[in-house]
Amino acid sequence: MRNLCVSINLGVVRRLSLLLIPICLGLSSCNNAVNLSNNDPFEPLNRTIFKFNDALDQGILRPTAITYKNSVPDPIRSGVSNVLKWLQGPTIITNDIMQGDLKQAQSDSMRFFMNTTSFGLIDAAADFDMKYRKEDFGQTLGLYGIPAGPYIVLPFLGPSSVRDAVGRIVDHFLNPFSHIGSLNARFPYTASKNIISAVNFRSENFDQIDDLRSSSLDAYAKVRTIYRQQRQAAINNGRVPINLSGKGSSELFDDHLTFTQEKKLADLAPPTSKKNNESE
Amino acid sequence: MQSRLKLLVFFAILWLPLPAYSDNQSGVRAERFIDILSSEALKLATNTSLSSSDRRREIAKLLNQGFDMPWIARFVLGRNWRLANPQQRKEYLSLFQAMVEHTYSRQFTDYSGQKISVVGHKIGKRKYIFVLSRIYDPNQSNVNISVNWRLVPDGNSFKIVDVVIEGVSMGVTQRNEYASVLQRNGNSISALIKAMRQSLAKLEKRG
Repeated sequence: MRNLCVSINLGVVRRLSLLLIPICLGLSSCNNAVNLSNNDPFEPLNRTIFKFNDALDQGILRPTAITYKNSVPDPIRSGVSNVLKWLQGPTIITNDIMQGDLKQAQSDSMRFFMNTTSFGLIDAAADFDMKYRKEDFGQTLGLYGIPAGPYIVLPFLGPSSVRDAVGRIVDHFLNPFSHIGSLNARFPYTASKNIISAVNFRSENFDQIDDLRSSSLDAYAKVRTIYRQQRQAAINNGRVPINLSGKGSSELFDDHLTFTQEKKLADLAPPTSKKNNESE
Repeated sequence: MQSRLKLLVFFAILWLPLPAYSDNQSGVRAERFIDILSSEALKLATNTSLSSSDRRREIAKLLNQGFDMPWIARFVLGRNWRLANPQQRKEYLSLFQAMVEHTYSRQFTDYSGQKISVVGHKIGKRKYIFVLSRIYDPNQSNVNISVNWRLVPDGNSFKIVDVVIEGVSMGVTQRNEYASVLQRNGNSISALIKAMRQSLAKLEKRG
């Protein structure tokens, strides 16, 4: 369905992508191939920021999320979560259009106006099969073929990439909610929205985040690969390609079949002592 | 002449749909495999009469029945498998297995009424078959998670070699994580095994 839409509106996309060609060229390799390699030239700095964010989580965010979960009743928490989604409405609709997905833009506009009757507190549109689906400018750029670029960890905000960090800034300015009120009121609005989002996210994914933290050998590397894969899935909009989690992962699995066939021979030979520095 | 033509047509009809049919059939069989496995898992998750050690034993049984654990363990290590000597390989495999069992038995304890429904399949390149499913919660309409299973044929049945949750492959995730541990420790398999032992001890303490 979505494919159809994309092909119909390919003209729009093509015209838009013409604008992006100069950026593309600047980024050297501009293709849609999924890059599962780490691409993490700033790893030492990223690890430091990751540690800082983790300390912040353990010291402030996690305890706040516990209190929030335990003392705020369920309906109010889901209301908060709904409002945060509703506030993203204009950004999502704009990105739907930029992605050439007019059908989704129409559905998301309906969703936005329907939920506006309760200022976003009640997600009535979800009952009419207009479910929340996040679209952001990072995804739009990804659809245009802009690679994610180096992985970066943002202080307070967590995992990102050069492309997605640029997307965040663009999304901020695209959203009319960021421009309402006096200049003095805007920063407190954005800051408090981000803080509430963080507490909401932490409480909604409480056990998963705790589990990830405690069961990892290298939590930083785990978060990095999950982020990469999740972003690719978001760009694909849940359409399941045959390789399921991107071209890169399918190659890994095909490669493994080849390798296990070779390996049978390797197993017969005594283990070599020379180090093999092949890396994926 | 005419009878020969008839024979030809007969064979053409007989032969043509066969490859498609058999492919389709293995896909349908793979779907049933996941269906049966998940209903057995559900039975286990809702059985409150089991003690925690019994439950872990049952989970281990189910995992070994449904998943090709040595295959997954080797995939996670990737080409670094070559760096390990036979003794390290043996220890790595058993640690890997124990860690997965602990992680999953915890998931089972946290179970709160979610259901899984198989929605289709895809036949992949090489010998992979994908079964597509969704996890939903009858009590919460906003829970709708896509879970896709990568299977390989195993005799008359199948074995799971990867689970992809909302686009995130468990195998690839663990592979990248282990690769990073190795890279940061000068490709030393014994350092990886040490880290796994510590992690397992933590999991065991948590219960």
